[in-house]
Amino acid sequence: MTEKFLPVQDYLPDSGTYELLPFKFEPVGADEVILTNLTGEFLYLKREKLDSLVSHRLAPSDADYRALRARHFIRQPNDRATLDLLALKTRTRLSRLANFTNLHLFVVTLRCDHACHYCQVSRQSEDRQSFDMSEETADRALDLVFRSPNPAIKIEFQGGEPLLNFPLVRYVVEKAEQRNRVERRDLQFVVATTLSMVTDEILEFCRVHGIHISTSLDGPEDLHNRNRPRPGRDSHRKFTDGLKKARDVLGYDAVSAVMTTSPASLPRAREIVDEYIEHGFDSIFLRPLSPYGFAIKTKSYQAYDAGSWLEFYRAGMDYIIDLNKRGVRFVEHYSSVILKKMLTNDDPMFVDLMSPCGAGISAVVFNYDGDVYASDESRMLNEMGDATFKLGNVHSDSYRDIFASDALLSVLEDSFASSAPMCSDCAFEPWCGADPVFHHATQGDILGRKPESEFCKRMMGMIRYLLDVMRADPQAKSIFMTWVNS
Amino acid sequence: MLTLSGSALETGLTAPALFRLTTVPDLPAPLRAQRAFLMRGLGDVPEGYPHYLVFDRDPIPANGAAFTRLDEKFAYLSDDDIVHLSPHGHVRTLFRSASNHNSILLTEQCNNYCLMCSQPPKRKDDRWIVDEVRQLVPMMPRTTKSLGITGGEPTLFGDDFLDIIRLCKSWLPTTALHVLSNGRSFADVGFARNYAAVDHPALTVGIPVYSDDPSRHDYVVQEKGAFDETIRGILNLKRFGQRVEIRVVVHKQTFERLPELAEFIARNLVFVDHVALMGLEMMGFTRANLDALWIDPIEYRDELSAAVAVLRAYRIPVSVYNHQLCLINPDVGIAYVKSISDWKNEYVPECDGCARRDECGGFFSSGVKHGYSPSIKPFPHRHPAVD
Amino acid sequence: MMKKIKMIRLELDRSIYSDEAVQKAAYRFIDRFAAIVSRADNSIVVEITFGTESSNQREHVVADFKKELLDQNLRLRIKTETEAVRNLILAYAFSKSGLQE
Repeated sequence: MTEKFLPVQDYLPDSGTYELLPFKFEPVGADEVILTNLTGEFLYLKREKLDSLVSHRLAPSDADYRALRARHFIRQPNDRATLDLLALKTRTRLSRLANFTNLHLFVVTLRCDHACHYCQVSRQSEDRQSFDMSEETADRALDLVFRSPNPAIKIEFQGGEPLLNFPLVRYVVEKAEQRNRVERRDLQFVVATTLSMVTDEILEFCRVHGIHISTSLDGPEDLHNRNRPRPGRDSHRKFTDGLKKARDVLGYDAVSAVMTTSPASLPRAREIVDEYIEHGFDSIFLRPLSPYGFAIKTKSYQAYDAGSWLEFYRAGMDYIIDLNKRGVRFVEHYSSVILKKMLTNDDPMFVDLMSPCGAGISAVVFNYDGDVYASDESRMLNEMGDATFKLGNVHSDSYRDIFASDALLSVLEDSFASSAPMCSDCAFEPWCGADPVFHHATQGDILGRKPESEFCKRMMGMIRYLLDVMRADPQAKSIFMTWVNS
Repeated sequence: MLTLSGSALETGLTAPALFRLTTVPDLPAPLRAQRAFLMRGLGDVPEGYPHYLVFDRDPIPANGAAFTRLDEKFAYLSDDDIVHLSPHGHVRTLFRSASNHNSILLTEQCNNYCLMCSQPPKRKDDRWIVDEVRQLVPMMPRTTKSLGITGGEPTLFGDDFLDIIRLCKSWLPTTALHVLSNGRSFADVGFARNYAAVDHPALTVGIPVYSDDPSRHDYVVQEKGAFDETIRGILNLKRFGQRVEIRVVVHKQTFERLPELAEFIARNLVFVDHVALMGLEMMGFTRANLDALWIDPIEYRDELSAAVAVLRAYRIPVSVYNHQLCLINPDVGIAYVKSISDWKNEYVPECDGCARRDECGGFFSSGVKHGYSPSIKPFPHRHPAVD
Repeated sequence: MMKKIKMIRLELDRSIYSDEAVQKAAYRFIDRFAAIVSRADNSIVVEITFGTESSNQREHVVADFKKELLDQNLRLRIKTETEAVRNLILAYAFSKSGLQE
């Protein structure tokens, strides 16, 4: 090289002049740690390097030094861009929070034609008066919906089986559209239904109003029928028929499905994924049972612990990754939510995995009787006689009463995972969430005692699995990168 | 390779001047006054042009008007090209209407000193160029599709640089403008704001980032603290809604952390409009620093693949420029651009019989002359099946 | 045969271990043992009571706990050193005027 050019050493910072930036660490194996920064970026480090790092003894010529500086775990005093970028990324992460409520759940009836063991709330009753939402209640709920400052509004109809009270669904859709001519929000509708009672008329209404369908598929026919008993034991056939009809009318992408893991599902992860593929789905949500409603009453929740579910999850994920490698694009949504926080600055605002918790901020539930809850799970808890997370009632309380209620504010405050015991120093916290309703339901304490928490065990298990896969398998990491940006 | 700068055989000019050329003999009189007439062989010499260009042994204008005689190296000149002529017979082609790669070199000064600079910077004051460009821009055809502004570091002229952008917006509002800058000037919020305030309808600035590691970038550009200013410059530009392209030259000093750089961009600069990953051009300083810079592109093909995969996953538009198809992995093909500009692209003997030559950008002539990968080999033709 | 010791007592030097680090470490282990933390002169005393674990298991847990104590110490050092810059970043992130001005 000619002399007027200086060698690379001349551009390295002086030894020991770096500053630490906020980060946390957890041990990985015997002699390594994983570091995460404020915005969820991560890297691995040998133990002895961690000690020299914190003691400001890490040499600028060290490869780890370069990685730490590039990923914003340390900076030189003159690195101004580092702080700008960290602030920008933090702001991006929190920006969705600022929009407040986006998802509004309307429980239009508790009545249902299925009698699932793990179901939280449904009733087999024929008594329309007692368990259907009235137009008056819906009107009041809509008033509150449009008070949300969020430019996007998603109204999801739930049950029971919402198709049993479809006249009210029509009513709410038409009223909301009418109001939206002035409001001009990005308005979306979803009906959560088993599709067993779907008719041409209902689908035509959905088509005209651009309503999406979220349906349930638990696995192969025998498993699905076992999980979802109904008179005639034909739940799976009803689903298959309904799915075809719905797709024919609404289009392929207007119908999505969710699954629930029952104890009988545990050994059958691959079959369940195959069932989704057979029905033309390109994603699945491997969803564990929640400790609410009948799930606790009927002991089906206790039927498996976090460890057994994780085994199921890992088997499913191994298979899904393998499928993707063979060119079959197929996404697992639960993992995607976590991966999005690991690999991007975007927070997917998934209600169970938010910190502060999504309760009342990303979702609000209007029950058939006008009660307002911070989340679907809070409603289930109330059905069990626990009113902790009830925010108010549309007939007796104002917007202010409800959204500035003690019930909501204290939950939010207590659920900032970054300030909770153990979570506050956990390196996985930027990727995790609070789920206060879960901890209240299982431990009688909003924060939860994390070492004994099934939620914590499940999250730790998933996170460690995803980290291991990404580290060992660059191809899987590339696949994950496409998941989080779709 | 075209000769863009050279000597005339003779000239009758008494003062330096810019001319837009025409071969149309019967332009209206006011337009004739602004053009030089390009004579081809025999024929009537139209009256009223301030200057005439003739080639080789062609006859001179019979009307006794001032003319410049050029040799065949300049035979490519045609309608609407713009040349600068000096009384000493120096000829510089500043604009070629047939090219899509016209650019204005605004200054040869630079505050970086990149190891592989293809246009080595000079210290001397060359602000006179700004005045020439002020004349040049209004002469360009208003149908010009695209125009580059390069250097040196064109932003070093500060307000004069902004004036040129403004001038382009005024005279060439539909011409896409592409500025090549190291971005450091935009670390000044006020400057970035003024740049955005020009409100040019089709303006992009291409800014090199060579590593996610600040000291590596600083080394490549030979300037401590450059990385920090460049990144802050990009942030300011995006904050004011400006189009930014990140340009990475891949060589021995940058290829190793290329995937990490892609992840850095995906995580920190995901809002940029385009990322260009470019092969080394054998010009300027590159030849002096060849040992430090040269690596056979086939040796970094996996890093290139990984970087393209990351950027594509994050939906950041990415292009691979200045590479040969036989040196990249097939998965890079989707980002591959046959980029080498029209007067530069050439092929080497190893390319003979290659089935994909038409899709391939080939080489800069500098590459052909000064060295290229020993791994170049032709793609075989598929033989038609024999019954 | 050795006598089964179900209680283990650790005495930690207060010039090295902070109260907060010890408490945080103990909290992380509440699913594995019960701990009482107290102070005595220049040390912090941790009294650990196990359930039905074998002595082998107990040794493992205590070894892990000792590592955790060191980690918590390190975490506190990082937290203390980075508190100011953390607040600065958050202030930037929440400021309306945006960056760099």
